[in-house]
Amino acid sequence: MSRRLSGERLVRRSSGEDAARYIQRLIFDGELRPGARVPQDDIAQALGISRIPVREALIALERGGWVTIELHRGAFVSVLDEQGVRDHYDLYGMVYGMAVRRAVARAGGALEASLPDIVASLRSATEPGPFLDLVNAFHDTVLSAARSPRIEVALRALSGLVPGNFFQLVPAAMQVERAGLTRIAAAVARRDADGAASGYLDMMRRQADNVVAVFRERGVLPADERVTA
Amino acid sequence: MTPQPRLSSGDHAALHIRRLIFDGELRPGVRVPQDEIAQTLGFSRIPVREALIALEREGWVTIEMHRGAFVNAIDADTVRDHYELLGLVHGFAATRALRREGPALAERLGAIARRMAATDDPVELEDLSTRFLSTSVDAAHSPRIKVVLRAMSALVPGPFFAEVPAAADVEKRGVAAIMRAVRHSDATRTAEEYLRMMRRMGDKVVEVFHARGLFDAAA
Repeated sequence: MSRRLSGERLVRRSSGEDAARYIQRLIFDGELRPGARVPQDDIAQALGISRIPVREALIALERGGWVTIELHRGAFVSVLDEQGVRDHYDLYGMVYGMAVRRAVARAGGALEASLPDIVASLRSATEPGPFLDLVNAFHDTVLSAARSPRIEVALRALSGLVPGNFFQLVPAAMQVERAGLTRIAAAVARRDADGAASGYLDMMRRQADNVVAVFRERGVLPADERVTA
Repeated sequence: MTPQPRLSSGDHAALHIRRLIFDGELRPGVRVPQDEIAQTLGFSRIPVREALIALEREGWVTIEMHRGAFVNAIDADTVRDHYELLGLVHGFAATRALRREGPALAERLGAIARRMAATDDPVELEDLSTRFLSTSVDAAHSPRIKVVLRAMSALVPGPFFAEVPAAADVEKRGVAAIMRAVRHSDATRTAEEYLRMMRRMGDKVVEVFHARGLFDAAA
């Protein structure tokens, strides 16, 4: 789903969601540094909206761990560290791993039928836009076969760390995703739920390596920081 | 009902609505009576509205434009998925915490576990259980873990071990098994024991939901 890895999909968004994406973008681009106060009036003005949706956006972003709201003082950009990025992708891997287990158990054959086509198209997709659509289709198929509203809740809480098209911003991620989804689809075809789940976890851990590298380059993470995995 | 000091009006309204759902007063498919709830709680409609937005995010209700908010059906799979997720995330938190703190964590958890084993009071057990879980979550130093857990609001509103008495035994045995793994600094087994405990807990909650007829309309 686009709600997962990124969100360059055409969906109708409220002005609160627009404001949230805009603020995430400012953080990702390094224009709002960790610890900085979010300039709510400037943002409202830049987007041509009132302060109310900006406020809504900040509440959502606080829930996502992006900012901290301090009473009467405003909202401040949270400090992101490497372990935080890795934890994010580990959690993604675990929750998607659970989703694919449920999908294998609950879908009764429908899943095996639809994943191979997506994987075949992924092999020839080279542009980030269509690639993202295919990846979203793969994850969507798994999630809908899992039939689990609770998993969707957990994933929604883990909204993407990278705003915009993930594969555009993290180019090395396409190869990792292509190999990972191929392996997951093969495990699903064997009805190997454990293999599919560990495929998700391994893939997400590799994506974490890529994201850490990009964040370092952009100065979103300090360049010298090292965390033992 | 008097709002508790640390809950916002929106949180308070959300808890109230979850209670109505758990008590079977708001059945699946039913429209949430926002005005009535605001009146009962002595709030304006704004916090009730906020509560519904939060509850939609958590999967409790679906908001339909211009029509209102409707209670979602819940089934046994949903309950089991909830506890499976809790088991996975708490297990992950514990492995992170173990890596950071090792034997010091075992000592702190052990002190809580001993008190859990000794109590028969459901409220005290819940309090200790919360502390047991949050000790690892805090020690993991991971904001992302907290984000997910915050989104997974409890399925059972109110005093858990009073509503689900069979869960007390599951909790005590589970915590004892977790402690054995933690004392060996065995991260993999620690995570497995969390998952096992939460799965058993899910089974007990399924029984209670079933007995309350909460699955009936979802069939």
